[in-house]
Amino acid sequence: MGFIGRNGAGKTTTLKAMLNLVHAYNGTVSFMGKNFSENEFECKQKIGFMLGGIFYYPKQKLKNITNVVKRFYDNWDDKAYEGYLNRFNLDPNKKVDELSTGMKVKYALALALSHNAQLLILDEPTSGLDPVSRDDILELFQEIIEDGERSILFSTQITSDLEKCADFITYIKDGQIITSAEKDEFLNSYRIVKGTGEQFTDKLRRKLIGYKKNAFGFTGLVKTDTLQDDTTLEVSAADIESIMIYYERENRI
Amino acid sequence: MKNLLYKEFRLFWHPAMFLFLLFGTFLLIPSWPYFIAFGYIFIAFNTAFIASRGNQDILLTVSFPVRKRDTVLAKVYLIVIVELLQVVISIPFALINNAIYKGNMAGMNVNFAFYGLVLIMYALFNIIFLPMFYKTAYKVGVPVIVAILAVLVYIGVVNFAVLSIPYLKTNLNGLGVSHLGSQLLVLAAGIILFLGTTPLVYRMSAQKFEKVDL
Repeated sequence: MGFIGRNGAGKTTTLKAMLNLVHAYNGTVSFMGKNFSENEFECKQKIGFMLGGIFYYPKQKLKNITNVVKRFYDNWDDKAYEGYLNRFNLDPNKKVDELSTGMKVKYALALALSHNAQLLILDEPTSGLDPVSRDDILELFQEIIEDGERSILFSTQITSDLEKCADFITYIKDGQIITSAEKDEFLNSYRIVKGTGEQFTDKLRRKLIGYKKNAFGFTGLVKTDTLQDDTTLEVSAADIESIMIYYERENRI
Repeated sequence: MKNLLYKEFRLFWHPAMFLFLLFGTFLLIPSWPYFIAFGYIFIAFNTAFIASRGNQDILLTVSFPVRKRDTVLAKVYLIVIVELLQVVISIPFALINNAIYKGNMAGMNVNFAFYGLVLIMYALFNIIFLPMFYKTAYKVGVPVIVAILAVLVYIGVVNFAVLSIPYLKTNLNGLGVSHLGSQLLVLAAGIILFLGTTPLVYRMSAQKFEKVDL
C-alpha cells in the first residue's frame, strides 16, 4: 500500500504512531487482528521498520549492526541474510556511511526480510534515489509481496512509484484520510476537466475539488460521480500527481 | 534484556569508553579530593549520551521488538554496571594508596566509609541525571550539569563534614582497622542507597520516557 500526502501532512507521524513511538490522540492500531499496544512485543517481531533519511550508527560496520539487530528476532534467518547481502552486493565490512542511499535502503530491507517480517513499514524508501535504483527497489517490492505472505506500507512523494507498484493507495491531508482505496478505484474516482473561461460557471466551480485558471480557460479536478455524462468539458483521466496537486489547492479557491 | 544490554555495550558504550575506568589510578595521587577520581565517569556518560543522539540510538532501539520502558532499563543497567566497574577497578589502587600514604591532606581518606559515600554520590547523580534526561530523551547538557552540580555540593559537604566535625573525623576518616564498625556502617548505607534508588531511577525515567513523542 502506498501512503501519500504532501510534506507535513502527517505521514511519518502516522507511521510512528502505528508503532507506539508517538502518542495518538485517539484511535487504536490493530495488527493481524490483534491490538498493537497490548501485544507490542509480539507484533513488532513481525514488522520491519525503516524511517526515511534516518540511518543509525553511520560509522559502524554493517556486520556489527546486524549482530545487534539479529538478537532481537526469534525468526532471524542467517542464511537468508547472507543471501540478501550477496544479492544486493552489500559488503558486511563496510560502514553504513560508505553506502549509497540506495544501498542503505537495501540494507534496511535485508534486515527486515531476514527476520521474516510480514509487514514492512517504510517511510520514504525511494526518496533521494536515482531513477535506476528506484526502479530496482520497486521491482524488489513487487517480488517481496508476490507470494502474498508479506505486505509493504510505504510513504512516498514520488507518485510515479505508486503508479508502478502500489496495489492500494491511502492519501492523507492535514492528518485526515482523503481516500484509501485500491489504486485503480482511486484513479477512476477522479477526472481532470478542461474548459474555456465561459464554461467556468459558479455552479461548476463548486463541483471542482481544485482548479487552475489561465488565459485560455481552466483545468480542474472533479469526482467522477459528480460529472454529468453530457458535459461539454474536455474530460481526461487523472493521475495521482494531479489528484494531489488539485486537492492541495482546494483551500485557495 | 540481554539483547538490549548487548546493544548498549556494542553500540552505545564505545569500548574506548572503558578507558575512563582508569581514572581509578588517580587514587595514586598523594593527597587529593579523591571523590573527583570517581566523578570523571560522569563526563563519559555525557559523551556517550551526546554521541548516541547523533547516532539516533533511541529511535533504533525502540524499533526493535521491545517495550519503550525496556530501553530505559537497559540504559539504567549500563550506567549502574559502569559505575560499579569503576568502583571495583579502583580497589587495587585504593590498597596501594593506603599502603604508601599516611593519610590524605586534601580530603577524606580512602577507606570503607569513603566507598560508601562514593556509592551515595553515584546514586545522587543517577537519580538526577536519568529522569531529567528521559523527560526529553534529547537534552543531555542541562541534566548532566545539574547532576554534577548536585554531586559537587555533596562532595563539598561530605569532605567538610568528615574533616571538620571531630566525631565524624574519628569515626569515618580512620585508616586500617580503626573504627571499622562505623566505617562499614557507612559502606552498607552506601550499598543500600545505591541499589535501593536504582529501581526508583528506572521507574521515574521510564514514566517520563513513556510520555515522550519520538
